[in-house]
Amino acid sequence: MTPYIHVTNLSKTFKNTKALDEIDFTAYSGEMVALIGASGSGKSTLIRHIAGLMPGDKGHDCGTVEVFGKTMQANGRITRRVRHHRQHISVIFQQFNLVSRMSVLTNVLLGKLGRVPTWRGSLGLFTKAEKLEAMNALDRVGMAKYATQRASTLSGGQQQRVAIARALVQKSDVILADEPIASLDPESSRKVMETLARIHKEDGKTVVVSLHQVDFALKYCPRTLALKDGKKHYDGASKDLSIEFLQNLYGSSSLDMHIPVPLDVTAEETIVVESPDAVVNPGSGYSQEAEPAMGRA
Amino acid sequence: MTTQTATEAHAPGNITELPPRDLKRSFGNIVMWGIFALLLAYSWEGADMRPWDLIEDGANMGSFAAGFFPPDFTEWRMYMDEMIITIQIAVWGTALSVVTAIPFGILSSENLAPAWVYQPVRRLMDAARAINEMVFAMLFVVAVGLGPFAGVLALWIHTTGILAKLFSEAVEAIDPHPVEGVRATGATQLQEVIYGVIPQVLPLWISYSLYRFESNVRSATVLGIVGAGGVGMLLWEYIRGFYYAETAALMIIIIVCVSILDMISQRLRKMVI
Repeated sequence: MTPYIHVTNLSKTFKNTKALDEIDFTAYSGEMVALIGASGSGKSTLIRHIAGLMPGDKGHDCGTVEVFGKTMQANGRITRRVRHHRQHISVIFQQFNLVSRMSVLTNVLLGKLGRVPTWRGSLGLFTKAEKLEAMNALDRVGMAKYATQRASTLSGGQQQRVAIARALVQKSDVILADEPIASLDPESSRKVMETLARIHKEDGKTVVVSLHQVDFALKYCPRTLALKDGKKHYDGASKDLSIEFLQNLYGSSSLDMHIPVPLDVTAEETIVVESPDAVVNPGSGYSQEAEPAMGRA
Repeated sequence: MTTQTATEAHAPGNITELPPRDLKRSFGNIVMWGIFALLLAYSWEGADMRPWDLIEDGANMGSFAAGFFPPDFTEWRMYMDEMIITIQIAVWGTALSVVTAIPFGILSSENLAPAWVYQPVRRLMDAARAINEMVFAMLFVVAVGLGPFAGVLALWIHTTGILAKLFSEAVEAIDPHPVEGVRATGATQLQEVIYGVIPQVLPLWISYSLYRFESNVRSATVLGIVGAGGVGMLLWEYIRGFYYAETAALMIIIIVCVSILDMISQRLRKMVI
């Protein structure tokens, strides 16, 4: 198996705090990996490093990031070819990062910028085939009917699905999603995660998604990478994660984490949690509200 | 005593005391006003302030003002022709400066350009702003000869300096997230600006450009005084020759035209924002 994402010995220091501490991480073709950890544990930082949006600590053997066998950064220096390599990686952001004054369709077409000649991309001259491809991508995320609207007129969940469509037309094999549902309501969160999981399944894309809510991670991702204070804390099958482990991982903030209550969960079994009331509940996430879900499981 | 009860059981709606005055702030206020008064007093002499002359020579002022009435509109066709030239100078001066202010504005934005680029570009724009357009007009009259073209060039240089600063301020206030989104697709730096920055700042840029057009119409009405074309030349000739009735007519035409353009441009600005 070829490693699609290969991170070795990556560290990042922000003013004396180690945001990433000697991270090694490898993702293979067609994996869907959840990245979990408390706020400030380095989830977003790791994703931004993989995407080549942020350089790691400088120095000898200070870590390399390779995507698709191409070096994105090494020893704290982002490669000059990074703009070229980025076309193999799509990034989905917590704040969607759409251009709000442009139409939904144009936003999706921006995903093509890395693949069309520079002059054509700069002038916004996209071919009919490219536009149709963007429309079909929108159709896959259920947003085709909004194509001509301005992105700013959409709700958060809708914007995130447009962002996924943008990632789709990029035709990359790796999708990095940085807290894609952290600013969405529970129903939109579910829709966005369903869309991501479907794309992963249908297109065989490698997906790395950082999540705040552990229940979503367990439900959609067979593999979990847990970070704590910038260190790799766990890397393995999601079904082997124990409640005690998760509570330890999140410390005192574990109540906010929607840690599913049934013990020895397996990824399949957690799907049972998806019942109308359980879907409505995750937003609040206090233990007494999670109890009905536990009873059902 | 009151604080004690407040901590024990707070019953809202029973506040009887105002928060204490911030002595430091009131002292600061007095000092500020003192400095302001000193500045006014200091400038009295230099500015040759003689307010009582207005009253003493009131009769003179009266007869001078009477000379303006009734305004003489016999040559109104020529006045209108000159006024239209004035507006045309402003149109070209503003259009050229918008075109040049876009690259200069982007290059003088802290968040897009490195310091070794934006510092020199900003200083260059400072220079273009610091010199009044009348001064530029005098220089260009020498360079390209008398007439409206010198006025266009003068407005162009001066307005580029102003718009570049305004444009770059808009760019520095953008939301960085969309830019990052565009960057992540593998776009080039230019494409990041085209798709991530320009759509965000466009309404403000249009609004600033229209506002500068209004100001440029006003500026263009005096450019003629130094021979750079437009209605100013006529105005200067009439005032120097004591043709006050004609001057009055010309001034009325300027006021009406400038007001109409201001109103149109204000409407347009409201539409884009």
